[in-house]
Amino acid sequence: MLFNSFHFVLFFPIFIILYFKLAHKHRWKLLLASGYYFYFWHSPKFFYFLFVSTIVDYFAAILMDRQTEHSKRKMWLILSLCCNLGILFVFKYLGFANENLRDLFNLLHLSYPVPDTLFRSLIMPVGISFYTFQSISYTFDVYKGIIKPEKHFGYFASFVAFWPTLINGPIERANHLLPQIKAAVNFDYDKARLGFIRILWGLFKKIVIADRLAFYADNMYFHYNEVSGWTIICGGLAFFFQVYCDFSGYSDIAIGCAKVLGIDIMENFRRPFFSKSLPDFWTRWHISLSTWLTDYVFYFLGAYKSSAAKVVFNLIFVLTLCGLWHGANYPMILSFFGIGTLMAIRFLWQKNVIRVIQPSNIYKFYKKYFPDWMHTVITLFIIVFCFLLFRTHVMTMIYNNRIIGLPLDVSLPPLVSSLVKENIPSLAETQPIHWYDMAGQLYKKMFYIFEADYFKEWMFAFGKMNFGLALFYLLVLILVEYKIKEEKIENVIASFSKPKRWLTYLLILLSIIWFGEFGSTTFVYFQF
Amino acid sequence: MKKLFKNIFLLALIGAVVSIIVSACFPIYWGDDIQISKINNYKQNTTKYNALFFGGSLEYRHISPAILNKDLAKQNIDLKGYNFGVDSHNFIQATNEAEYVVKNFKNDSLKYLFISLSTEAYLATSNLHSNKLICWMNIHSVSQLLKTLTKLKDEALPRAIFAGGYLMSWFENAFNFGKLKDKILYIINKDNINTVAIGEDKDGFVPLELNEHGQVANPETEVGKYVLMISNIMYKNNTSRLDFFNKLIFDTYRDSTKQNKNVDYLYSICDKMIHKYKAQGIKVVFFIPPRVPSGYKQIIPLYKRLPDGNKFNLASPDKYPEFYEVKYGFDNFHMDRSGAEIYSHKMAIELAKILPQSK
Repeated sequence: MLFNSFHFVLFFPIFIILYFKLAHKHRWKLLLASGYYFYFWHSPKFFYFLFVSTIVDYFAAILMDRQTEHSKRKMWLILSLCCNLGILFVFKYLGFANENLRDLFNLLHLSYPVPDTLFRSLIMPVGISFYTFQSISYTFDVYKGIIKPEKHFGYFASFVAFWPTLINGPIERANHLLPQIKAAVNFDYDKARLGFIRILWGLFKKIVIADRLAFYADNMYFHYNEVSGWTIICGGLAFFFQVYCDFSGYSDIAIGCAKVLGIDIMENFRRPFFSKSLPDFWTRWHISLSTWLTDYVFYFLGAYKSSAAKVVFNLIFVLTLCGLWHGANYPMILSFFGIGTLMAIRFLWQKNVIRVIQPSNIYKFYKKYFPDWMHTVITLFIIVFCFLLFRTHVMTMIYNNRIIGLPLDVSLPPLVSSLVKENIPSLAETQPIHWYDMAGQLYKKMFYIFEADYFKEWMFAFGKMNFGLALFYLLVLILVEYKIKEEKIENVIASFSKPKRWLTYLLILLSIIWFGEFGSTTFVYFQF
Repeated sequence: MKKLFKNIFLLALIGAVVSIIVSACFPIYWGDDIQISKINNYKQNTTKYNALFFGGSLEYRHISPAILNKDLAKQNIDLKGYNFGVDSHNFIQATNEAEYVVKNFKNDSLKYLFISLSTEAYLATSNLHSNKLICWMNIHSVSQLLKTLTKLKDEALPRAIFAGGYLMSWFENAFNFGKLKDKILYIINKDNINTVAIGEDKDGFVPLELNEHGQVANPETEVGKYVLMISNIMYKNNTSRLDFFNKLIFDTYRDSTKQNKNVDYLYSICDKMIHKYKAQGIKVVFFIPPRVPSGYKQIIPLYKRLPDGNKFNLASPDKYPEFYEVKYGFDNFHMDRSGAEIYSHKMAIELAKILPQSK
C-alpha cells in the first residue's frame, strides 16, 4: 500500500478509529495485523521472510539474555545476524556477487560453473533493508545490554512490522519505539493534528515537487549524450531535490501517521541542502541509517579515536557500506565511496592544515573570504556531483529499455527481442549502454561550465508551465525550510493564528490536488 | 477524535467547494489530444460533413471517410463523412459524444450518425485515472453510466466496482485532481488542432501504422516509442497467439445465438437515439466492426433486435474472412492501412444498401 494511494486514504481513518476504540491490551493485535496487511499488500510472496526474521530475533534475544557467558551470547547474536543478513544477501547481493565472481573467473581464464541467469529471477522483497536493519539493531542492543529482550511476542512483532516505518523507514530503534508501542496512550487531539499537518506536508513534497522534478532529472539522464555544463548541474540538482522530497516526503508521512497514534518516531532529514560540510550532510540525510551505521559500525571500528590512517579507513568503509546498503551495484557503491573519500580528505585537511593555521592570520583570512554560505554551496555541489552517479545504474536500465520503447519493469522475452531487432533496422545497430558510459559522459561534460547544450530543450521539455511550477514549488520548499530553521514544520504551522493556519492547510491541499502529479506509483527509496 | 475528523472534513469540504467553483469556470476539456483536435476541426468545418462516425480505435483506425465518400458518390449517394472515433472509447461514450456534438455544433447538413457497437457496456478499466476518461466524467456522463449499471443484469459486485470507478473518476474531474495545469493549458491553446490526430485527409481517419502519438504510452517521456511496432512484430510472428485471439472472437460470434441479459437496456439506448434523431431528420445507424476484443456475445443479440434500416454488420468471419487475416492486420485487434482500405470499401457496399440515393 502506498501512502499516496486511495487505498491508504481509506485504510488510515479506519485504522485510527479502531486503534483508539480498542482496549490498550488488544492494540498490538491491530497494529500487528495492519502491519502484516500493509506488507502483504506490497509483497505477498515475501511476507514469510518478515515473519522468519521476527521469530528468529525474538528467540535469539531471549536466549541471549539467559546466557551469562559472553561466548554464548555472541553465538545467539551471530545466529540472528546470519539469518537476517543471509536473507538480505540472497535477495539483494547474491546476483551481484555472482556477476563479479563470473567476471573474476573470466579474467583468470577459468570456467565459472554457476549460470548467469540463475539469480536474475530473484526479486528483492520491498523494505527488506529497512526492517532487517531495524531488527538487527534490536538484537545488537540486547547483546550489548542496552535493552532487555521483549518477552511479549506480539509487542515485538508489532515493533518489527510497525507499518508507518516498515516499507521505507525511518529505521527505528527498539529502545525508542517498543516502549511507545507498549504504553497506554489515549487519543490526543493536538498530537493528531500535528501528525496530519506533517502528513499533508509530506504528500506535498512527494506529489507536487518530487514527482514533477523526476521528469527533469530523468530527462537529463535520457539525453546524457546531448547535455553539458549547466544542463547537467541543473539536472543533478533536480535529481537531488527529487530524491530529497521523495524520501523525506515518505518519512514525513510515516512520522505524521505515527504521531496520530501518539508515537514519536525519529526524524530522518534535517534540511540537508543547508549542510556546511560533508560530515554535516551525513548527520542531516537519512539520519536513521547514518546513526545506525555510526552506532553499530563506525563506533565499533573505533570512530575518530584512532590513528589518522584508521579514521580514514573507518570513514571510507562506513560510507561504502552505506552505498552497499543502498544497492548492489557499482554506481551506488562508488557514489558513497566518493563521499567517504572526500570526508576522509576533509578530516585530514582539518587535522593537518586547519588546526595548524588556526592561531594565525591565515585562518582569519580563510574564515573571512570563505564564509559559511560558500561552504554550503560547495557541499551541495559535491553532493550533486556524487549523486549523479547514484542514479546511473537505474537510468541505464531504463535507457536501454527505452531504446526499444519499454518501461523499466518490462523485459522482452528473447524470441521477441530478436524479432524486434530483425524488424526494426534502427534498433538492430543499437547497442545497450553501460552505467559507466552514461556516468563518464555526464562527468566529462559537467565541467564544460559555460556550455548549456540542450538547456532550453531540457527546461521546456514538459512545457513552460510545468517548468514554472517545478521552479516555483522548489523555491517555496527552500524558503520554508530556510525560515523554519531547525523547527518542525507541523509545530510552525500549528502556531499560526487560526485564519492563517487554515489558509495554509488549504493552500497545501489545493496545491496537491490541482498541481500534483498523480501518475507515480512508487517512491525512489523503495528499491533499497 | 470527532473534532479531528470534523476539521478534516471541513477542510476537504472547503477544498471541494473551491475546486468545484474553479471547475465551473473552465470550458469542457476532453483530456485527450485526439478528441480535442477532432472536435476543433469539426467545429471549424461543420457544414462540410453530413455523416459522423463514432466509436473507439476500431473506427478511428479503420474507417476512411474519403473512400466511403468516393465509393458512395459513384452510386449517387451523398455522403460526406467525418470520423469521430477515439482510441479506447466505448459504446456508452460514443453515444454520449454523438449527443454532445449534435447538440453543441449546429449543422443543418447533418443527415447520418453512425455508431459502432464494438464494446460491452462497461468502460475500459485501463483508462481509469487517465486524463481522457476523467475529463469526460461530468455529471451527465456519470449519471448515464450509473443508470446503465443499474439496468444491467450482471452480478452486483462487478457493477458496484464499476460504479465506484466511475464515481471516483467524476470526483477526480470535479476536484481537478492533478488536472488544473492541463485545463489552463487547454484554455491557452483552445483552438489548437493536432494535424496528425485528424489524419491526412483531415477527416479523422488515421491508420495505426501512421500513429505518431496518442497510442504511445507516455508521450511526455517518450516511453513507448516502439510499443506499436513491437505489437505489430509480435502479431505477425506469433501465429499461436493470433489463432488464440481469432478463435476467441470467432467463437463468440458463432455462438452468440443466446439472448444476452444486458441487451434490453442497451437496446433501449439505441432505440431512443433512433427515434430522437429521426425527429430531427438525422438517421442513426449502428454497425458491428470486425476484431472486437471483448467478442460478440452481447453485441450480436443486440444487433439482431435493431431495425433493418438502421444497422449493418461487417464482423462476420465467414462473410469477411479477410478482416481477420494477418496480411491486413496490424495487431491482434486492429487492421493496418491496407485492411482499413478494404474495410472502408466493403462498408460502402453495406451503406449503399441502407442509404437513399440523391434525387
